[in-house]
Amino acid sequence: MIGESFDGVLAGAQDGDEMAFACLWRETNPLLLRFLRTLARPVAEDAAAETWVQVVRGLGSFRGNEIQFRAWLFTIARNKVVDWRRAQARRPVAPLDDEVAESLLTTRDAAEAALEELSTESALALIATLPPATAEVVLLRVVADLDVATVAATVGRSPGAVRVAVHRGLRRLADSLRRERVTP
Amino acid sequence: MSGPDVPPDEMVNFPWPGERAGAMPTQDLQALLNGPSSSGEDDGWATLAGLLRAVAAPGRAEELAGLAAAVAVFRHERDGISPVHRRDEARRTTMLSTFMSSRTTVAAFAAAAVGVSATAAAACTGALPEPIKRTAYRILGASGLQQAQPVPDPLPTNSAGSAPARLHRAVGFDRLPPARPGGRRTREGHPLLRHGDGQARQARQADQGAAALPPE
Repeated sequence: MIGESFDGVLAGAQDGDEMAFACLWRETNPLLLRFLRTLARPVAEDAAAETWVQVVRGLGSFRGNEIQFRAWLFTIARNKVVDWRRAQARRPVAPLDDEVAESLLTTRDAAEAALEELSTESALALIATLPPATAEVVLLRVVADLDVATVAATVGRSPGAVRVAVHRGLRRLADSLRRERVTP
Repeated sequence: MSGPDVPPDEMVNFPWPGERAGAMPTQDLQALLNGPSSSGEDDGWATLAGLLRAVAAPGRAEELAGLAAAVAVFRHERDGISPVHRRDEARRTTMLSTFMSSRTTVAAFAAAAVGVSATAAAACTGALPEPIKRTAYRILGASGLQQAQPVPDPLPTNSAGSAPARLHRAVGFDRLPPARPGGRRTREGHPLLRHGDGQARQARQADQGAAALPPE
């Protein structure tokens, strides 16, 4: 979080200051990439770039604090994910090749990898095992650091539904981690 | 993290990285963020805390690699021209400058402009041959120039006399006062005569109706 200096940074970026924009980008792009890589991995980089283009074009008219800026940024990113999922749903499903299937079966489980090394990637991989709607609210809550009301507004659900979804998602992650720990 | 749908005590151990006011006791959060407890007890929440810390960790180098490209997009948008628009504009400018730098093109433009202007002027003044005039009016009609209305024939086509005679009557020679007996009609009888208009004189000579007017 940029914190108290956010207003000045935002004003600088809106005035065309490249350093101010770079500050905004540095602070939020890693989180944006993690969000997109978890929910739309094949197109994460492209979606992030398109998100930033849209942010840059709308930056002059944006009004709000840091939380609202993040909510705006992740709302745009989420729309990219939704578009990608719709496009995916329209495409015919290709049959899985036998060799690929075998290699997938021998790949380490995401939870196992997360236990061995809780790197960012492995943690995101574990979150990606959640149902998409649950993973989405967990990411918005944890990665984007948005409060429940903002997450609810972003995903178009009630705050209560978001609380329940986040709770279930985290409980599921915790259970998964616990199982892996007790399993020899 | 409480609400009608989630019992308050059920969410107490969730380690929110940037939790705001009233979510979790600070000591519990700190304990979770510090990692698994030293007692070795781990019900999954402590490990989950590590997981959440990992996903909210500061950006890594590969996540910051696109900064230059992002700033480039920002710079282009700030300057009011996106990279795509700038490329298109440069292409248009190049094509236009190449086109305008050609001497043949400039000469053709000049000749066409002179030709159109001259044609328009000549057509309006009636100095063009009829076929060319019609063509000119047809071409220039779209640009707002109206074809001159043909002058109505003042005399019915079945009226007697030649064209000069008809012109004679149209001008009003036929309404001149009759010639004085034994005398000459003076020039003061009609304005055209006062100015010695040759055309009117020829008309008078050709018109039978004006035969009373003696040749000068």
